[in-house]
Amino acid sequence: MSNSSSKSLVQKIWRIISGFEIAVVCLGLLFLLTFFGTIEQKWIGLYAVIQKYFDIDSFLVFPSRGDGKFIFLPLPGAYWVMVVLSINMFCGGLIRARKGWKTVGVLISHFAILFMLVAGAVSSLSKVEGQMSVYQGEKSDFAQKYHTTTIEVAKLDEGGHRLPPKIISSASLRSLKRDDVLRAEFPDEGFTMDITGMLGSSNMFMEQTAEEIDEDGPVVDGFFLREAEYNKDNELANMAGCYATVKDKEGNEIQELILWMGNPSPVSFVHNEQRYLVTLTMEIWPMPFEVELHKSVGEYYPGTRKASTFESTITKVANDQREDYKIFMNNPMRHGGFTLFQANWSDTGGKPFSGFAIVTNPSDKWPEYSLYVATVGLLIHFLFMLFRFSGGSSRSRKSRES
Amino acid sequence: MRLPVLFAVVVMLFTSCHESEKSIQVTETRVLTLFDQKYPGNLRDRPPLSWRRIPPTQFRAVNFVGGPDESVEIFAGNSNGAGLSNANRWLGQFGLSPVPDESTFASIEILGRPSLLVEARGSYNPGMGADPEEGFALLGAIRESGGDVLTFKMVGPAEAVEGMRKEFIDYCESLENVGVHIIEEEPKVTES
Repeated sequence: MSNSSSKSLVQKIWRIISGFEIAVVCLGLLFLLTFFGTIEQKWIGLYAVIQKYFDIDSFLVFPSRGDGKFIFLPLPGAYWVMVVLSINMFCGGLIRARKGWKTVGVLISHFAILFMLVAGAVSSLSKVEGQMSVYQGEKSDFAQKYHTTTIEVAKLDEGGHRLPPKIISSASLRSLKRDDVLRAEFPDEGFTMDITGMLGSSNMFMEQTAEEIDEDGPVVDGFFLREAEYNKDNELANMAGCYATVKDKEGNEIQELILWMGNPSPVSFVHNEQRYLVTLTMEIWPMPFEVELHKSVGEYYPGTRKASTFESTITKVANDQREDYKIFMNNPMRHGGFTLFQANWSDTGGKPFSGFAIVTNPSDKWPEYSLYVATVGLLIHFLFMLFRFSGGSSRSRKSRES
Repeated sequence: MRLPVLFAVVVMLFTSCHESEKSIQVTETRVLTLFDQKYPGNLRDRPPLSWRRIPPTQFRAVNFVGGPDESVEIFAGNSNGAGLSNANRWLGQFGLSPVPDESTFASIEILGRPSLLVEARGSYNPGMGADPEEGFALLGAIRESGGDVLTFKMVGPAEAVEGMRKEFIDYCESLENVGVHIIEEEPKVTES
């Protein structure tokens, strides 16, 4: 008795998991999320909408207008709706579905849709994102990865040009707290660098002009760091800072440095008659192409410095091939797995500026392939149904005639 | 049973409060990009090895210390006003009277243009509430081009400044305009 009741409970759960009901609810939610995301994009832009509605960290979405007023009830994050839909599709559309020649087209289509959902998950987990910042009339061939902090140590050649820098990676610096010490050894250069006092968000002050100086923090070259409140709404506004003590092989101090992400130029030290430049920066991400920004236009919301619309005219230069593009909302540029779309704009100081979000994604083409497979599956299914219908019609005609 | 749990909690608390120290070997490099060819004010400089770059400030786009015990400050930036008024302001910091015209100053060439070489010696009053410094000297250069005024200034103990005179002039004369990130061609957009 208890065996049969537990069996029926499992069967009930299986029916629910693999049932149409979940699929219908998920598709309905995805429709609403896409609908409100498209509306909200008008105010906050494509990139912010993707983060808000489709990111893995987005469990609950509050559809709102540009002024922050809610326009609908809270919805579950699209990523997690698609996870549920994938499980449902796998259980119901592949395992539970009837299998045979009659359903082969439907099975292929279900597999293709599942593949598309997996492509979305792979994209969300493995894609790399950064920002390329370019002023009008200038060009760039690098982006800076979001949410990263690296220390670059570059040697100079005889002409004063920088040589490829050595990198203390973001992975090594990410977990550092204010009281932690990271000893970075540079075996090729013959010195070590002790990184201390790491602050995720900080301001740098001059000792000479500061109203008060922190008692517990060091003052280096007349400057010191003070922790700032972490800006959750605009993470790019957070400027990391730390101190670095350079020591020779014997442990003798060569130089103490203060490093702050807001500094536009590096600080330096000399070791073995060789100058080194040290920079604390978001990870530099070299691009396989160059972007020339010819024209950057946009508008602000009235009375604010928040961009409402923006558009950029660029030339992409890769392997001496030049291609012209106009980048605007929903019209990105693609190049070898990289997608470049405009994320922000400003004209501070009278010089227009475009901020391009750059994303690289190993599953970039998977949705396209899954669409081809789904098309083939549906074609097989519809042709099979057509033949069955026409075959059935001729059989019934023959039976009527006889 | 309670004792091991208590011990584990104490160990966890102790380790979590203690500052951590870890060590890594840095061998990772990256390829060069335009990021590595950016210079403050688009000016590439070749400072002597004895000068050390320190963080820039609002008025010092380029900021060095050098000389004995790094007692000399060397900095550059953009300034408002004419070359002569800047030179007279610098003289005023040493309690010297303003001069009527630029012919009083020697000239050096910076970025292809003749520039004023300003010198002063005595009691230096840096302003901003700082105490005056006795026995100081100034060696400065001012380059005017249209409305753009570039200033280069070296201030410190007189003996040290005198000893670094050649380094300073060589530095100013070796500056180069670098604009590798500036587009040279006119835009010609055909596709959208």
